Amino acid sequence: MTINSNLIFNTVNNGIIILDENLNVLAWNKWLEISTKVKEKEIIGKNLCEYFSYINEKKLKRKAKTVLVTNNPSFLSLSTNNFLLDIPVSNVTNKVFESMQQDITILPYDLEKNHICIYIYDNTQMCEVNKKLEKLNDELIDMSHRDPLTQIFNRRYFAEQSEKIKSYSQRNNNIPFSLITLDIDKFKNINDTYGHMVGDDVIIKVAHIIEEEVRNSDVVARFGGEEFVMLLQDCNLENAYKVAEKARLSIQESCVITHKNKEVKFTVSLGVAQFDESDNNNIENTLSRADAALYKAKDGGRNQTVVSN
Amino acid sequence: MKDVIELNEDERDCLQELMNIAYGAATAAISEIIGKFATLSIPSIKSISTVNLIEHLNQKLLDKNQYFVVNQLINGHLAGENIFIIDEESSLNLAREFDLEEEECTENEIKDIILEITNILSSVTSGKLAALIDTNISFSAPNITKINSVGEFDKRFTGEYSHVIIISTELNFEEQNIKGDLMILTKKESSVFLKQALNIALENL
Amino acid sequence: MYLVADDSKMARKMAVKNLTLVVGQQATILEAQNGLEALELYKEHNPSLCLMDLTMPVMDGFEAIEKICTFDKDAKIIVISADIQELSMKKAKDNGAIGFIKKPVNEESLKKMIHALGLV
Repeated sequence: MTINSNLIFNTVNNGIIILDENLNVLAWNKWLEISTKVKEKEIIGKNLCEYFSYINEKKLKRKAKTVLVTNNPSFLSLSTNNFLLDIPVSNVTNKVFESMQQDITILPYDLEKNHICIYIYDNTQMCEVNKKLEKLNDELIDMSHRDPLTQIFNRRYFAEQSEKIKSYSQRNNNIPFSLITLDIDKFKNINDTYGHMVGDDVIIKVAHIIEEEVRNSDVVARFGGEEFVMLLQDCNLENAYKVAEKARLSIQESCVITHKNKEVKFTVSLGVAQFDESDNNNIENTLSRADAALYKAKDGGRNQTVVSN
Repeated sequence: MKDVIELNEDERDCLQELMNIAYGAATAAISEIIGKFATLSIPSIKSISTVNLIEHLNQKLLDKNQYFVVNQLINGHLAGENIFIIDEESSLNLAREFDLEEEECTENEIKDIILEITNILSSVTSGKLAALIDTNISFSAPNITKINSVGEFDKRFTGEYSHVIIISTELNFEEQNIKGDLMILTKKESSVFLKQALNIALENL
Repeated sequence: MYLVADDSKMARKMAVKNLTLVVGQQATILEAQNGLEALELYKEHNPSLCLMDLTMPVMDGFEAIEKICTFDKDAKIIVISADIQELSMKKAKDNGAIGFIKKPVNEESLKKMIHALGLV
């Protein structure tokens, strides 16, 4: 059976270009005519890179040489743009890419005349799926680090980060770092008086305020019900105390409005500790000291900051 | 029945000679494509079973360095996977040999070049080996990743493939020295086929 | 008397086999594993034809060819190599080789080369 190659050439759902080693176009199939709106008779004999000036001519010529020398296929790995020919993606909904993502194979076509053949395959759908998967994966990882209510970090993330910050400090001449533990005063009362929804709002408010008080390199995490911890990198005890006080005052000034338009005020107690040798290289110990200071704050009347010595 | 395909001394000698020829073709291809003369260093060819692969890699790859790993699937009687491993410094040297300017040496461009060189080395070496033992193969597009340690190496290799031919190469261009390892991993059926083909070649001697 | 130089046992076997097919069973064929051995064997036995590989340890083919041709300007050396780069062939010929066969060598290619060089 003889194959009607002409028919196949012009009905196949891929782009097919036949070129000489200087990248002059010798054949251009219907798929390309339709996708690029360039007719075969317009581009025959012309240099592909002159017509599409964004193509890296040096690289493509080298690929052409490679397939002619090795007599094996080569694949264009498209690092900057994922296409050889810029063909705008036609769909309006769910658009991830502006241009068609393409899979390119280059083959030797005629070794005597040094002609090569390029197959272009539309890979856009698969790339879209991959991109969505990547995004979902990133979101999943982020979610596992976050407290669902306040969206700030959770205890688990805090544990990971504190180890990193400790290592960093040790590698860099023991740059000081400190912890602040923070607890909402008489939280149970707030819940009992105004209801859990208001209680939740208070927690969210406190979370946001303390996030504002820290730098990007610091970590703020919700440890449990109404408990928070702040990890301050490159910060000594004195400065940590200042941060704690600033947070306490901001919280004291703030309020939450109930649905009955009532203003709910609240305060926090804080304990501060700087990581030092007495902690035996264990941040848990620093945390305990901060907690002990926090307890003293509660004991001493609340709405205050106590420093661990 | 022994699950691991071992080659005897004669078979290994024969394979070594075939690989020399295959690798000579690959080096010639590279020098013709880049237009520079390459010194064919006698490739050290090790033929081991995949159970010893991780051990080999542990010795070869220094944990401090970063490596690029490229893999390419092979189909046909010699079905398997070719893997090329090259360290960061050699990659930069390679990019320079491809006439990349310093500004052009971005990670993406370097990855591109490594993919190209792997495609050439892998397709010509395996292609020539296949031709020498009278069979045909086809290739898939190569993929590249960066790894920091042997631990990141996909351990599925030891299950999926039975045999590894490791060609440690040193591509020496006039100024640059480029070290890389090309590993040819064969599936069990391919190893069996290879062994038979080697024996036929030996018989014809 | 003939000389075959190659570090690969398999390659030597193939070269010997093909050479025997071309020149006949009665030929004496010496084998060297590297360029230095080849040089020494050549000086001692003065073979009428050498088949030489290029990539060998101790002394490579390029150097061996050069030294043999210095010793005997009429030395007949055909290179049989896996290194098929243009420049390698040129370098070998510059050093004195009179022919170059790409591996794998077979009876056909060897016969052609030998006849073309008018050696038998």
